Amino acid sequence: MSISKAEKSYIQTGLLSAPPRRQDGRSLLDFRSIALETGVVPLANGSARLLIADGTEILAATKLQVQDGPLPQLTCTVTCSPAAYPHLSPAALDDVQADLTALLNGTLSRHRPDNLTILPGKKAWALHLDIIVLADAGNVCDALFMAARAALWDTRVPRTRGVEYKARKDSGFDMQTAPPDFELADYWDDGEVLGGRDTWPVSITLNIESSVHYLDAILQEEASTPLRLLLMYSFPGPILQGMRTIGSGDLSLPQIKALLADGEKYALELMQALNAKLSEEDVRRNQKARDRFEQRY
Amino acid sequence: MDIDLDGDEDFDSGGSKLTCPGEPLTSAQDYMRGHGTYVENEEVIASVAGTIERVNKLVTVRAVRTRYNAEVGDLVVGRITEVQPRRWKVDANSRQDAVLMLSSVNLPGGVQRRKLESDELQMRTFFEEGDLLVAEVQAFFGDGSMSLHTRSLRYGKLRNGQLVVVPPILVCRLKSHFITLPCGVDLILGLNGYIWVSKHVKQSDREGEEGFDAEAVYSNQNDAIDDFTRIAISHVTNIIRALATRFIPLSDTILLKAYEWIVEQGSDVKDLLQEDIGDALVAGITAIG
Repeated sequence: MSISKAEKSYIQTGLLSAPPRRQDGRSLLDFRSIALETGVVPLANGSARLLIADGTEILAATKLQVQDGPLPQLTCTVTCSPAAYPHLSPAALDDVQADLTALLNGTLSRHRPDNLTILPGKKAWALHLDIIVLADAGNVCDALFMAARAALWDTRVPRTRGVEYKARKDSGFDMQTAPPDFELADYWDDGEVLGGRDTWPVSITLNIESSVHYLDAILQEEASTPLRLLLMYSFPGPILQGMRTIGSGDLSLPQIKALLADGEKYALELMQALNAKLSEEDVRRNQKARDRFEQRY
Repeated sequence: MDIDLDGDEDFDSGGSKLTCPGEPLTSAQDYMRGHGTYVENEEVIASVAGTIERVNKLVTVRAVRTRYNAEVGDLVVGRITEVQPRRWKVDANSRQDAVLMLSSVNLPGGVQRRKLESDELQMRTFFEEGDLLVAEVQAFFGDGSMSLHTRSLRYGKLRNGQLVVVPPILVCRLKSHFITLPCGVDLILGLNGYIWVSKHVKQSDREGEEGFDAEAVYSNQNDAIDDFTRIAISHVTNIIRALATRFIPLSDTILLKAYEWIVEQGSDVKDLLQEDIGDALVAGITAIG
């Protein structure tokens, strides 16, 4: 999105004045309100919809597929709805999608949940994470990671057990040591949660305008800020999972150190808030399921 | 459910009737279908959600959420998307980009002047990509796209403020779309749903001493804006957003009332971003009115 020089200078002067003034009156570190709901896609193993202040809207869903061979990596795909970026040409939209996909893949695919193996070395669940950006009103990266985290948190892995069909003893063939096939332990059961689901990273975007940095930029602010620093942290730790600068500005090493320390603090707060909300969602959905069950019987 | 359109008082009473897609409105034998409707089984059926309107035998539905439908003479706020030979393309929230011809802007060195080749070569010194401007709809082209003009001293490039976007249907037609609020804030309510909120500039300063000052009109430099004005601008912006999300039509009186309510409550600028404060605002101002 291109904005005029006057708008740009208005935003920049506001950020650098004392006290800093943003367009909608938020302070530098204020986030807009975020709405989050899990379990929105019935056919997915886990899903979430995230909305930042009626603007940025993300739908994330995970799907588990049985795959032969050793444990595969998590694959992420980000699709942007053309309605989210009406001014972009289809080719430019593809670029945005590829960029976001690479960002998400590079950070998340290193994580390997420990309960995706079905038959060691032979069969495993391949985890696919598909995300759609339905609308973009700024800060799409943080929203992506939050939605991804929520969908992965919500993912249930079906319980399986190995099955083996043995010939009768008298035939003399009993070479198999590990079971060659598996079956679902309980068809009606959703299964167990992904291993280490609270270690998925969160992302925090620091928008850097010369001496100050601020969070959760709206589109106009993004367009007028020369440099953005993306930090992906996972907890406990904290472990820095990824880092990226976007924009034409530059940063010195001492600056980066200071920003890392700040970013860690914000990421921790964001993660705690997100975890609290996700636990609440778990309770809400389990409660709903129980109530429905009780009504029926 | 069939809506009885036979009683004329339905239409004259001014109380607009809402409809939603798929709802049969009336018989196709007695009435003609207009925009937002289609005919099936000899019935006129709404194809969009909106208000039913009728002119004689023509039934139309005006969609609630739609792009801006321009009319000649409308005041719009737009953003330059492209500079082309002798014309600019302007995004005005319409279905197609609007066109601003070089011949329909004020050129430096006098209002009444023929455009020269030198003007064509320096079009970006007047407007460049991303620039916001306020203009009037002059005419329509054959393909339905609109042609704008800024041949008035009140029109031209926008600075000293910020833009809010609301659904175009919420902007009421007013006597004047240039509004000055007592808190030192100027508002330009574009009928296309783009609203420019800026620092108040005196009429004489805006137009320049000599009637037309090209330097000032096409400047990209903001004036110095003090803290109070900045807060007021943010306040007004948040009020407009809060009203628009609750689907309150925007007019000068409503905005003034809302600003007074906010000042009375003594609330902070970012309070309005919260759901309950916004609801209270709407309840407060609709109760007075």
